[in-house]
Amino acid sequence: MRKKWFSVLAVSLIVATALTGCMGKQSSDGGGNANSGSGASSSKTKTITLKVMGLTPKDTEAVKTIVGDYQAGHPGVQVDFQIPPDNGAALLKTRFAAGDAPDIFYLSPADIPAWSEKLADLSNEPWAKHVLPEGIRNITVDGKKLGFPLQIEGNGIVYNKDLFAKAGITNVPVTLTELKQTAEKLKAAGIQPFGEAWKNWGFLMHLFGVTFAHEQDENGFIDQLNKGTKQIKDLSNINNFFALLDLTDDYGFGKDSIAYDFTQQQKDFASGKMAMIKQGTWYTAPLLKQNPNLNMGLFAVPLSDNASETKLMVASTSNFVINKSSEHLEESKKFLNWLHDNGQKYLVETLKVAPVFDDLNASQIGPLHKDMNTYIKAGKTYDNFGTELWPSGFNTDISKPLQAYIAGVATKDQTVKQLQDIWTQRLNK
Amino acid sequence: MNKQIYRKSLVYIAFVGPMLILFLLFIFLPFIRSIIYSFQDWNGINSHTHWVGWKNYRNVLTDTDFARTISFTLKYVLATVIGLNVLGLILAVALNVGLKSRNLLRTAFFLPTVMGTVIIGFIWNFIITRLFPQIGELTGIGILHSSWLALPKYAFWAIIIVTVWHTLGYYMIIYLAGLQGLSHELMEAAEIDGAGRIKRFWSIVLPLIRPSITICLFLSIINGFKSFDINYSLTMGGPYGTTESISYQIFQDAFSKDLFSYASAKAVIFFLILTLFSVVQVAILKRKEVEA
Amino acid sequence: MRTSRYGAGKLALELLLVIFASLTLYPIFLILINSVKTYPEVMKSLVSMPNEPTLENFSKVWVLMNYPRAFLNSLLVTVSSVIGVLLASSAAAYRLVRSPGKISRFIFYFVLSSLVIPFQIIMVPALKVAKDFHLVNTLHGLVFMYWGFWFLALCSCITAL
Repeated sequence: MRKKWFSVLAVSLIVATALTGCMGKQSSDGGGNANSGSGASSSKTKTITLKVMGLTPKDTEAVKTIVGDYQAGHPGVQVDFQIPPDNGAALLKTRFAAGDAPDIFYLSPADIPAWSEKLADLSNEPWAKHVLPEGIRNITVDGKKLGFPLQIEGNGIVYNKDLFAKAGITNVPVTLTELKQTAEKLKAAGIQPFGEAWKNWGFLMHLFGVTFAHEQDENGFIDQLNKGTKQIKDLSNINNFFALLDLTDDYGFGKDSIAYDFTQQQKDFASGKMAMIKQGTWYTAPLLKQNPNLNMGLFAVPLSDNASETKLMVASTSNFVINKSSEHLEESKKFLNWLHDNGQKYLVETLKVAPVFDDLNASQIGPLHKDMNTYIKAGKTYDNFGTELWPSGFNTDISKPLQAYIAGVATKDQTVKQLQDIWTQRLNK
Repeated sequence: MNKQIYRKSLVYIAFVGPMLILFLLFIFLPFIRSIIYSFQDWNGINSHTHWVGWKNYRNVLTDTDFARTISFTLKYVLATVIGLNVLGLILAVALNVGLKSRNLLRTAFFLPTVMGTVIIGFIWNFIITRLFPQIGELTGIGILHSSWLALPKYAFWAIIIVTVWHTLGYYMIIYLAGLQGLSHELMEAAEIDGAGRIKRFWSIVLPLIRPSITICLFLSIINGFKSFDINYSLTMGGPYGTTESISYQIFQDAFSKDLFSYASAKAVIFFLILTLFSVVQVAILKRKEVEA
Repeated sequence: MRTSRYGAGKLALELLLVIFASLTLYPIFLILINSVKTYPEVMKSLVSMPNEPTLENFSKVWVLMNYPRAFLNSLLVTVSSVIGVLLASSAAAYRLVRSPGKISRFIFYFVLSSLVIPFQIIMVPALKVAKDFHLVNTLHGLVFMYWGFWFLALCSCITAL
């Protein structure tokens, strides 16, 4: 008898705690749902609901503004804008599987090819002819423009201008040798040159991407990699890549960099702990939030000693796309048109992104964007991050061998071989 | 006679049926579908798929990542099962004697279980990477000086510590409930017969709380094999993939790498391993259980 | 067990447990103090006490997340799931224990073995099945349903053990 009671108690306890535990997760996840149900005012006209999914939790307030304004100007349209908490890919696939697919969603350039059969062709939209050259390649599949590029970002080395001045450095380095000299000077002045967050696979992906962006015929090289006629070790700058990786650790956190993540990095860089980080324009808001007076700039990654190859990687990094089988295809297109027509207000001022349209102007966003614009004007840019054409899964998987290399448990040759194995495996799966 | 059998089976169906139907709909059928996917090449997105036979399984068997993940998960289960059950039982016993602040203490130990894992990952990341070295400096304990999340061996223990910290409360409560169900008469009789504290614990308390032990072991093993949250929020599987649990890797494959079929094949293999494990475990524990 | 007197041994045990409990609570304490700090303060140091405690973070979350509604939703789902799960699983477990035999044993092991299937892999197929049977309206609801059923299986087993 006692056993029975005991079992009932145990079961209630487990169910209650487990469910509330999962509740807590849900409510923090659901935090991005910015749909203001109160604005519905139960209209008599037929209301349609536009389901949008995308952006990141930091945009919650901006999204609220945008959604509110759009609904105010478009009676009869409700916008249900969901911001995924972290793993957007999982949520997106789940919503498609559940038949709750969003009308408009958000994809990175590398994901567009895989999703292409689900996406509406946007080539004839009014904004399409205004897309900057840096944004075109990443939204085009088989000649069709499938995405509304949200922003272009510059990918390079972010540096602290005050610390550079303190070490007596006047020009940013344009070759790998100069980069090393710069690090040396900083070190001599008692300043930690680098501080890389190699715990996050995304940054290792960016760094390895530099090697591909520098390849003269990048598309041709990737074709040959896929056919097996070329290998990772045949990348022209593969040795320089490892030299660069070594440099960031020898003059940075060393092996500990694989336990160092972006939150710590933002905090430390903003407070002047180190002078350089391999990052890009996406760091503007978090850095300025912590230190509004941070005097920083952005320069292109010098991967080789050929200064003419040192160009800033500038590409569109995120796109809105429209679900081809959406019930509200036309309304969805209208939403994107409206976003472009009012781009100066909502993209630049509210979302604070650098738009990928030639009829919008975003020089006011921050110091990193200012430097990016200088590179764009001088024509010294690559139009991609080098990572977009990798087989899916390659980007996350390479972080393991690269971290092992940094930790000193694998040699350069072993690492290159593993990178090659991952490429082959990912192609076959 | 026939009527009685008929009625009996009707009652049986009425009681067991609802659970079974829900189970079939939401667990069994989906899993069958996963098994079907594991023989296809679905990436989680496309509407068209092809049959690929045993290809996914062959690839899993040659995947060194998968082997490493299995070995990590087994070690993780072993360490957490021992940690949670030993500590949980010790705590329960200590909190079952008449301490003044026992209710407060019980609440304190239970509190971590209600925290969300995202915030746990964030705060423990800070404690391990920032506070540990500082404490190490103050106390001169060398081990705290190492960069815990950069070294596989330490990262493993970091995950164990956080898991135990997070879920110890459950196990403590279940053991406590078991201890409170013990009859006073029995304990007194044993004391009069001259059994010492330790002897009483081993010969009377432990056998009588066997149901709690069964449940706790069962839960800790199952939860250990399914571990996902802490790996995700504390180490992200790193350094270099050494703390990737099976669930974590399957999730990554299915959702981040667009390899849904491949992930399904991993899940099926994992399921087969674990089924074997559970059946053996339950069979052993069930035989040893004592009714009070 | 006789209630023995409160002696030195118990005092020592109590002290030890209080220290251990403080250590256990420290991370939660950190979360609490940081929830009443401003963002720059959090970034400056996670361990420092708040200079001027502020409830701004709470009001922000309250509004942005539509907290009261989210909480009500969670509460409704929790309560109904717990009741549903307890009813279905205890009924099933009761019969399974009362009528031992091949069928019961088969059902028991059948349900038991499902507990080890990683949730992540049957999430998507489960949604598809639910969709085919017209059981889903919202994803949110379904995730809870799913969890509910998982625990249902778990509880049936535990009660039957």
